[in-house]
Amino acid sequence: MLRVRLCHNRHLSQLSFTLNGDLAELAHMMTEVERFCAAQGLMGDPQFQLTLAIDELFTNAVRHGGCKGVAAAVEIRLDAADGAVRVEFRDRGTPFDPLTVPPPDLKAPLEERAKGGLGVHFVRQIMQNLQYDRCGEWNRLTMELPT
Amino acid sequence: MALTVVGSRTKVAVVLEVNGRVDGETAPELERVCQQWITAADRNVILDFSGVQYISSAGLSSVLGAGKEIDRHGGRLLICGLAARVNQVFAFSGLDNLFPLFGTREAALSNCTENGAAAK
Repeated sequence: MLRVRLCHNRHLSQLSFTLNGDLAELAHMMTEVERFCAAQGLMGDPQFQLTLAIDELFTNAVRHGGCKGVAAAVEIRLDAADGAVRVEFRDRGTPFDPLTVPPPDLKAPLEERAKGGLGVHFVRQIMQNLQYDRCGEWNRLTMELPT
Repeated sequence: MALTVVGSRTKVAVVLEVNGRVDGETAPELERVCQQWITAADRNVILDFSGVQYISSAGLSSVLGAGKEIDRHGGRLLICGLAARVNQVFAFSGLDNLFPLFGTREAALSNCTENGAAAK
């Protein structure tokens, strides 16, 4: 695991970090989110929800978005202000707007349930004010978690 | 280690005790252990999640895959010991409607017989 870049201000109300395109980086992501949430007094449910939403986006980018094996493939910025954590998730993968993904059929019987497609659903369940745009070679998704 | 799975076998069920986090990095290990322990003859498989504090959709996908395989052979997957936040992720996914959930391993085992579910 290689930490490429980490910067934060003195009170850690903002935190930026970079992940390589490797699922082993999940542990690194979880450590950074934990550190941010501890500094903001957001342990417990907010930490779990932030971790899960970022995990789902990162895992999708690595497994399906062309980020696997790419150094510094994902950049994440967390910003706590005004009763919410604002998250910016950027990845160098193929252009993909997760907000166009149709919701999964959660009532399908076992034999018909698809094994994938839940990740984006989780993000939409947890986060608010999701917005996507493509900036050059980056997919950028911004969203907020009310705290 | 991020994830460990300890398997055992009782008269009525295979029990897989899962500890750690179940995500895109570790889910393949859960799948590997499931394949190692579960046979077509098993009527009841219990996933004991009391040592799990975190699960993502990748982890749920492995649970769903195991459940489908067991169902194909006429068996049942039972899940026990979900922490509150892990239970919430199951609820997000609807998997809480596909598999019977129990508070404890003992409660899950008491729902099993050698032929499958306990008589009501």
